[in-house]
Amino acid sequence: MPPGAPASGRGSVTAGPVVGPPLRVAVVGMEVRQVKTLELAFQGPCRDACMLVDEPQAQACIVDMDSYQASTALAELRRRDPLRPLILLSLAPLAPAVVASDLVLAKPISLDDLVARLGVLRERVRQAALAAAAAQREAATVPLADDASAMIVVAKRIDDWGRPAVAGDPQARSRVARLLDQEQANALIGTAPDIDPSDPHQLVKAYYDPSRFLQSIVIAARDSAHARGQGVRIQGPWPEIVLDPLRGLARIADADHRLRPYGLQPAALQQSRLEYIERLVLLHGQFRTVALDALIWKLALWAARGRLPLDTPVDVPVQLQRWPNFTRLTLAPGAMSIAALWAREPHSLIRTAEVLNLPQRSVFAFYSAAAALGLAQCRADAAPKALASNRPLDFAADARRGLLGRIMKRLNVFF
Amino acid sequence: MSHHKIVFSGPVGAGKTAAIAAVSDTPPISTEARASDATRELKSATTVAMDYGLIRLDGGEQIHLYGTPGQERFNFMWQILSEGALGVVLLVANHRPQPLADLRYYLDAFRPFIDQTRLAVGVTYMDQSAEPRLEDYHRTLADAGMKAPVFEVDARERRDVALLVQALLLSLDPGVDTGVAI
Repeated sequence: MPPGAPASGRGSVTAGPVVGPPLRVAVVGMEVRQVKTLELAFQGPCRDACMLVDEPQAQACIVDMDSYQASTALAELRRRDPLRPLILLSLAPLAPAVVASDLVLAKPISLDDLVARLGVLRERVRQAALAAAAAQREAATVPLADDASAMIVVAKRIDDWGRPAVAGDPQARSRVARLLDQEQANALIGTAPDIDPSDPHQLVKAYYDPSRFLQSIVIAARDSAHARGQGVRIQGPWPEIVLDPLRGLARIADADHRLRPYGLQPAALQQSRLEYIERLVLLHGQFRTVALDALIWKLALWAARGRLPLDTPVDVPVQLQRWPNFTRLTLAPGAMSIAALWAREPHSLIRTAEVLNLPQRSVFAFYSAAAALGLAQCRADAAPKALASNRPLDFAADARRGLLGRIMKRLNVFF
Repeated sequence: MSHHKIVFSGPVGAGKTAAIAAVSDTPPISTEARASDATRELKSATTVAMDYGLIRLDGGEQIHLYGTPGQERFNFMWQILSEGALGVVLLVANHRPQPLADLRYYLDAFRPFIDQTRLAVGVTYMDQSAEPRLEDYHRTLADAGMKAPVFEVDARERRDVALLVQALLLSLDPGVDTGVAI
C-alpha cells in the first residue's frame, strides 16, 4: 500500500458505520512504515472499525507473504489458532495449498480492497460469535460437538471485545516483540548453529566468499571511483546504484531493501557494468540517497548471513579500529555488545561468542560487516585478555550489571 | 530506593536539552534563560543551571539525567553534577567553528571523571556540516588515549539518543544483558 494512498481512490470504499468494538488485527512481516500507514488507514477510512494489536490478542491477521520466512510464520499462525481468519498479501499468485480458506490481496494493495476485505473478516468474526453464543445457550442440554467447542473458543475470545486490547498484557506484547525480533534477526544473521572450530567440516560452513557478492562489486566500484575522483554508476539486474565516494553517499533507484535479494545471492559479476560519471546531479528517476557506509554494511550483512569472509581465522584476536556509527547503520543482534568488548580489548571470534553468551553467527555477522568497512581485522599480535574460561567476564559487580541491564531494556532500541 | 545518574555535557547549542527530553520519562525540567552573552549568537535561550530528566525503571529505581550548562563560566557545576554518575554523554555540535577543539576541551574538563567511568560522544548537526568527519573525532579521542563510541546524532530523535546511552552502558560493561535472546 503506497504511503498516502487516497482513501477514496476508486469507488470510495470505506467501512460502514461502526457497530460494536473494532476488529482486532495483527500484522506479520510488514515493515514499520507499512504498519504505520495501516494504522492511519484504520483510524481514517476504516472509521476505527479495526485496530492494530499484538498477535495473541488478534481476531484476524494480515501476513505479508513476501517477507522473510513468511511461510514459516504463516504455518505458526495457523498452528496457534486454526480458526483465526487471515489476509495474505503477495506480489505473486499464491498456490491454493498456501491460501487454504484465507483471503488474498495482490500487491500493490488498494486501500479500498483492503478495507473491503477487512469488512468481510469482521462479518466472519461476528457470525462466528453469534454461532458460538447460540452453541453456548444450547450447551446446558445438548452435548457439544467438536465444531461447537471450537466456536466457544472463538466466543470466549470475543467476550473480551469491550476491554482495551493491547495495553493490558505487557508480557504478551513482549513475547510477540521477541518473535518479531527473532524474525528480523534471522533475516540479518541467518540461523546457522554454532560450530566446533576444531572440526574442519563444520568450520568450512562458517565462511562465505565476499568477492562473489554484490558487496564486493560496490566496494570495488567505490575504491576505483574514489581513486579517479569521480562518481560511478553500477548497473546490473539489481536496481541501479550510483556511488558518490567523495561525499560518502550512494543513490539507489529504489528503496535500499529492494537490493536484498541481490545482496543475498552470489552476484552475476559478468552482468555488472560500471560507468564512471562526472556530474552526479544528472540522475533521472527517483533515486534515494543513503550513506555509502550504511549500504556496504547492509550488503555485507546480507551476503554473510552470520558467516565470515573466507580465510578469517576464528581463533585470532580481533582488533576494532573504532566504533561503527551505529545510529546510521542496520543494527544486528549483539553488535553493540561486541563492539564494546572489542573496543576494550581484542578477543577472538570464538571467544567473543563465549564471553558475551551470543550465538557465533551474531559475532560472525558483525565482524563481516565491520570488516567490509575496514573497521575490524584479525591480528595475531593483538593480545587477548587472559580470562577465566567458564564464567562470564567480571566487568562489573552483579548488582551494577543488573542495573545497567534494566536501563538497557528500558531504553529498548535493540531487537 | 536507589538513584543513579547520567550526565549530558557539551558546548552551548549542542542539543543537551533536546537529548534529555528525547529519553526522559517525565517532562524535562530546564532552567533556560534568555541568553545575554556570546551565547546569544547561537540561540535565544540557553541553560543556565542544568537540565533534568528521569528514566523510571521497574521496581521504582530512577535514573536521573542531568544536563550541564554549556557556558564555561558555569563549569564549577560540572564536577558537582558528575559526582557519582554512571558516565557522561558528550554532545558536540559539528556546525560550531571548532568542534574538535570543543571535544578536546570537554575531554580535559571531564578527564578524571571519564577515567573512572566511561564516555560516549554524540555529534550533532552533521546534516548542516559534514566536516569534521566521525573519523576525525575518533582520532582526537585516540590522541587523548581514549577509545569511545562516537555516533552521529539528532538530539531530538529518541532512537539516536537511546543508542548513545546504551553504547555508554555497554562501554561500562559489554556483558550487560541487552534483552537480545538471539
